[in-house]
Order: sequence, then structure tokens, then C-alpha cells
Amino acid sequence: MLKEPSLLLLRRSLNRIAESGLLLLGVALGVGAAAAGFSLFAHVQRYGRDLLSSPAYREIVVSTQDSAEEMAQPVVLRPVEERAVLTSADLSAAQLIPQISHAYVSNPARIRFLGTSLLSGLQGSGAGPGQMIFAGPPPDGAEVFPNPSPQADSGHAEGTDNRAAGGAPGAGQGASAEQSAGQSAGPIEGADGAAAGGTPEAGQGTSTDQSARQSAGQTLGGEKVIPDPTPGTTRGQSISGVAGGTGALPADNQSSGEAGAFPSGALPEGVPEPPDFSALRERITTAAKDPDILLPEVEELRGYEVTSEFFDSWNLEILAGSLFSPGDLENNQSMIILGYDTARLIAGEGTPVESLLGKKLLTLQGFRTIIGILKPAGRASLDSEFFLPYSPPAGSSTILRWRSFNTQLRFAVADPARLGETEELLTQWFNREFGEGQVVISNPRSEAEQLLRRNVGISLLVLFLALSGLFIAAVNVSNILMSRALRMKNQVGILMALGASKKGILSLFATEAGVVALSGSVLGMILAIPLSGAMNSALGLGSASLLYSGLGALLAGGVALLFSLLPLGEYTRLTPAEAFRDV
Amino acid sequence: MITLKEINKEYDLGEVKVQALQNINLSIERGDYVAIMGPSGSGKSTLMHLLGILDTASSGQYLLEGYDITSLPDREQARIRNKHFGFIFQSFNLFSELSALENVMLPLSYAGVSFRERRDRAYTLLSEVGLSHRTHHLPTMMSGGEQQRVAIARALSNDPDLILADEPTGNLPTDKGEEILQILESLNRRGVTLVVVTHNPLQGKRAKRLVELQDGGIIRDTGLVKEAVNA
Repeated sequence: MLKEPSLLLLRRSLNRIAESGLLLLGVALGVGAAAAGFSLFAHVQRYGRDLLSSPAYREIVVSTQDSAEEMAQPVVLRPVEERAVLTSADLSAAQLIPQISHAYVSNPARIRFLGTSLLSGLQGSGAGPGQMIFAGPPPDGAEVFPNPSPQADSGHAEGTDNRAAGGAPGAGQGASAEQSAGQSAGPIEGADGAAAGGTPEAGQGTSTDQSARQSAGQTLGGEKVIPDPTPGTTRGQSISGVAGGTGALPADNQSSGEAGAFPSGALPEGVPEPPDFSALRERITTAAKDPDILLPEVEELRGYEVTSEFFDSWNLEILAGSLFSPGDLENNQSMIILGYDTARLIAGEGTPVESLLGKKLLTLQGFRTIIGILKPAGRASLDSEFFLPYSPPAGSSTILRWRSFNTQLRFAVADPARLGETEELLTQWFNREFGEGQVVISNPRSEAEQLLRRNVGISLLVLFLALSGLFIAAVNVSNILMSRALRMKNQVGILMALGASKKGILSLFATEAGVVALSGSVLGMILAIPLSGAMNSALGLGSASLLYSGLGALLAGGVALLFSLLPLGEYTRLTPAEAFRDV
Repeated sequence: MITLKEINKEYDLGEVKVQALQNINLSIERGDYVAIMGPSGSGKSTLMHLLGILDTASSGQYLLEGYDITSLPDREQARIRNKHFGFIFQSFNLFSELSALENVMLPLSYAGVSFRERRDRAYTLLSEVGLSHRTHHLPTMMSGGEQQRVAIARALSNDPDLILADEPTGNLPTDKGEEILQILESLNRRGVTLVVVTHNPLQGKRAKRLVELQDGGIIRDTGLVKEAVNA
């Protein structure tokens, strides 16, 4: 129950609802703007710190132009006439540069499973060897691996994931050149990087028309036709020379006159055999009964194809099982390591993730044995991934080329301050090895720092404007309260005559100022949440932090309270007689 | 009860200094009924403010029950005003946002009285001044006489020793003014000390003691005559 003096002030405020509303609105707008500005500024700082603390920003990335376009980190792309072919063997550059702590390959990859649609398609069509899995075009974004075999019915299944298949120029060209063969071929698992028509196999394997084949061949690497070898030139050229026979539509393939570049029954080494759908159906039947074989209820998972140092560089630790051994990498064993969230997804609720160890995942291509599960890394992008062993492309030059085009070499340094000199040394090394401008050498940290500086500048400007708004609002609130104080002078005199001390009067009006500041701050915070969300979103910083908005509202509310208390000075100088003189 | 010794009050108005009271010697005994009269600017209100500890003297001593209170801290002076004095003003000075009952309860809240007791005492006091039917009315809904009766009830809320009334009938018609004076005089008969500031000579004559002021000094104090006679 309010005492009468407090009741008096409350009723005065309610009687002057417009004035009280303006007070609240003034505080709310000032606090809201300041809280949102503070939230944005703090979020930008935190975002920058978090971003740059990621191992991804302690690396120099060496890639081909194609794969650089797909990188998550900001890079500057320079037009190059690209002839280089990168393999994990090029990680040896790290041995010559002491600043480098880890060197590894990390290529995006994805695995496709027997989703509901595929299963029904498979069962419904009664597809056997040589028949199509898909009746129509592949799902949007799905890569299409035209069949290198003359039957043109099965798809290449597994690989790296650097290019969006259907959306890539090569995919469209390849498909149009050879009707539906490329599309209907089941993209099953694997190197979806070079994607459909973008792979040498695509153009060659599905074209019956030479021009079509040439068109498809040019899409290899996206305008990056590997030139004929020139003996005695740099290594990139010599590699491309090896591959050149197929990459540039060599005469033997062009002259084959068959539906595909590869003669029937003569798949190049390294190209996976087309799946046998009878066997696949049988495998599914078997799998359904075998508790050690898992059929995840997902269509697709994304992950990485990595070399062993990846895990050290990202401080990823194993929760159960083991990481890849050197043998796994050399032999390209069908193994898989799961991120924690991925493991939980596959295991399902209530089943410990450790129980997945040793079990086999049935993919569209075949089985992959789960050999390890990672501890939660605290980064959603890693926890929800899988990891396949990367092995250098072996076998035919064709395979070598399309895989190598999608290989990203990453060189991590312990001290980010040394990234610049490391970049220079790597540039020298790769220029020497491949020729000037043949690979893209990126320093994501440098680019990120530029973006972060821009964001900091914007957030500072917003904070300055917001604080200015708060100041103006607070001064106005102070003026309104001062005006109230002067109007209340007589009443203050009466209260003092009736027994109020100066301290009591101060406490009474301080409570009023506090209520105004607090209510305004709460309203301000309610305003600040969507406002800071919108600003964060505009700068691409993700969702706003309630903590920062709350902290900002608290600080701004404190400022508003301080200004609200200023008029109380009027009462400290007032004696009852002075107040009564006007009565 | 109250003794003022050599009290001076000077207002500093920048270049000009105004001597509001000079060499005031006044003693008010418990149960007194004192009328303070004088022309405008003679220092009546200043004297009343000093008596009610609403202001402090520039020099001199203020003794309450023998204790010099001029140097007491603000909080203690506020407590004395609350517990021992009741104020009645010409313009009533009720809070228009509070009901009659709440106006009377207000001084009790500074005395730390519980809500229930405040409410009960306020009801009783309003009944005593004949306003039991108007307890929940706002002052703006009441006549001047009723408002002044609420003010009297408020002044009595803490059972004061001294009531200081500044022109209590000044804003009232004669009949209503007479009612108010009768209430105040009945209080005095019950032992409450009453000091009334007035312009009205008739009211002055009704007091037991008349103190006349002119130019900040006391020019007549019938109490001194009585003392001399008694002596």
C-alpha cells in the first residue's frame, strides 16, 4: 500500500498523462537507441574477436580459382589463366616455412543417402543395371555425374564438393549436349566439386557430338581448359600435361565415336564402378536386417575431406574411436569420422553416440565405416559435419585433374601476426612451382580484418548517434522534471510543514525519477531488441545478443536516471519558509 | 512552552537587506490563545514561520520547552513540526489529488503510523469536524468551509501541542469563518495552544492574548500587561 506522499505523486503523474507519457517516451527512445547502439558496438567487437580467433583465420589458403570462389572466408579473386593442379603433395611447402604450424587439405564434401524419394524410385522403377534412378532432372542443386560408361545409366557417386552441380555452367552444358543422360545419371556420393558437366568425365562420357563434347570440356574448371603439356615448364603445366589428353578433349576420346569418352568396360583407374542396382537393392534388404548397418533418415550430409593435420589445427579431439591413421589416408579407406551433432543425428534420441563406432553407413555409393566421433567443438559448423580421409588423386590423369582443381591447401600459423610474411613465402614457393598467378593465395584474416574495421566504424557511428539521442532525450526529461519540481514548490512546502524532512522530500522525488527512468528503460529495452536485431542483421552479424541489449539498456537507463535526478537539486536548496512564501 | 529571545530575521535581497523582525522577545505558554495582528509587511507571517520552525532566525534564540532548537538538524526539526505543531493556512493548502481522508492521513504517515491506524484516526478527526460523510471526496468537490475543516482535522492528526493558524478565516464567508473559529477555540479549551495570525480586530479581541507587530517589532503584547498585573 502506497503511503500518502507517494500516492500524491502517482496521482499527479496520472492527472498529467500527456506529460508523463512524453517523459516515458523520451526515456524509452533515448534508452532504446543507446541500448541498440551499444549492443551493436559490443556485438561487432565480440563478433570480430570470435571470428579472428577461429583457426580459419590463422591460415593461408592456396587454391585454384574455382575452389576459391566457394570459400566461406572472404578472399580477393584475381583473374588468372589457371593451369595449376594442386595435390596434398604441395603441402610440402610447409616444411620450408618455419612459421607454419599445420598444413592440411580441407575440401568440402557431401554424402548422399538413400532418402525416401530415392528408395521409392528405386523400388518403383525396378531399375536394374543400366536403368536410371531418377525419372526426371536431379533435385535442384544436386550434382549430376554423367556416366562414363556407354550405358550412361549410373552415376559417379562420391567426391569433393566445391561446385554446385546443376547450377554450374558445366552442368547445364553437359546435360544439354547429351540429352538426359547426364541428368538421369544418379549422383550418388562424392566429389561433387567439379560437378556434373564440369568434370572431364561429364563432357566426354555423355557427349555424342563433338561440339557438345568440346563445350563440356571447356567447362572443366570453368573456363579453365588445361593446356597441352609443354615439357620443361612448371610442375602445374607438366601435371596438366599428363591430364591434357582428356582434359582438352584429346583425340583418342574424341575419336572414340562412342556415347562416352571411356570405352565400354574400360573405365579409367580411380573412377568408381557404376552401382549395380540389383546389388544395391539386395544391400538395402540386408541392411534393414543388420543392426551394424545404418540407414540414416537424411538425404544428404555435408562435411569435409581432410588430411590428418586438420584435426590438430582445429583442436578437434576424439570422443570415441580414433582419427585417421596415415594408412587410412594412403589407402583411401571407406571410413568416416562424425562431428558430435552429426553423430547424435544419426544415433537418434536416447542412443549414445559411442554406439555408432564400427557401424557402417549405407550411402548411395556403398558403405562407410564409422571409426571416430569427435568431441563437441562448440562450433556448429564443425559439430554438424563429417570427415572423410583425403587421399591424393591417383590413377588416371582425368581423375587427377578434376579432383585437384578442387583441392584447397591450408597453411596455419601459430602467430597470426606472421600471416603476412607466410603469405609472401608461400606465394614465392607456389609461383616457383606453378608459375606466376596460377593459384589463388588468400589471407582470409587480412580480408576479414578489413571488413571488421568497416563494421567497427559503422557501429561507432551508430553508437555516437544513439548516445547523442540519449543525451538529448535525457536533457529534455530533466527539463520536464525540473518544471515539475518548480510547480511542486508549494506542495513541497506543505509537505515540509506536515513533517517531511529534506531527505524525505529528496527520497520521494528520487523515487519518482527512478520509476520514470526504470519504466523508460524497460520500454527502451523492448525497443532495442528488434532494433539491434535489424542492425546486426544489416551488418551480417547474426542475431543480436539479449545480454548486450540489456547491458546497454542498463547503462543508458543509468544515464537517464542521472539526468532525472538533476532537478532534485532544487529541493535541496529549498527551506519550508521559501516554499511557503509562494503559498 | 516557546520562548523567543532577541530574535532577528533579515532577508538578503542582493544589494538590499530587509529587516523582517527585530529584537523579538516572546513567550508562549501551554494553553495560550494568542492572536498576532499587524498591518501587511509588519512581519506576522515571518514570526509565524519562525514559531513553526519553517524558517530560522538570523540571530537570537528559540527555546522549545527550554531547549534551543535553532541548531537542530533538518530531520529533527521536521519531526518536531510533525509531532508537536499543526498548521492551518488561509488557502487551506490541501492536496487536490488526495481525498479528505488521505489529506488527514498524510502527516500520520511521516509519524510512522500504520495504515489502519492512520485511516481510523483520520475518520475520527473528520467526524469531529463534521465531515464523516465527505471522507472520500476530493477537496475540489468541497466548499471552502469544509476544506478548512479538513485542514483543521489534518492539523490535529498528530495531536499537536501548538496550532499555528495563518488567517484561518480569511477565505471564508463570515458564518463559515465563525464555525472555524469556534472549532479552534474549542480545541484551545481542551488545552491545545493556539496562535492565530489575523487582520480581523474582532478575532484578535477573542484571543486571550494579543500581540501587535509593526515594522518587524512587537508594539503591543497584552500578555505582558497581564503578567505585570499578576505580578
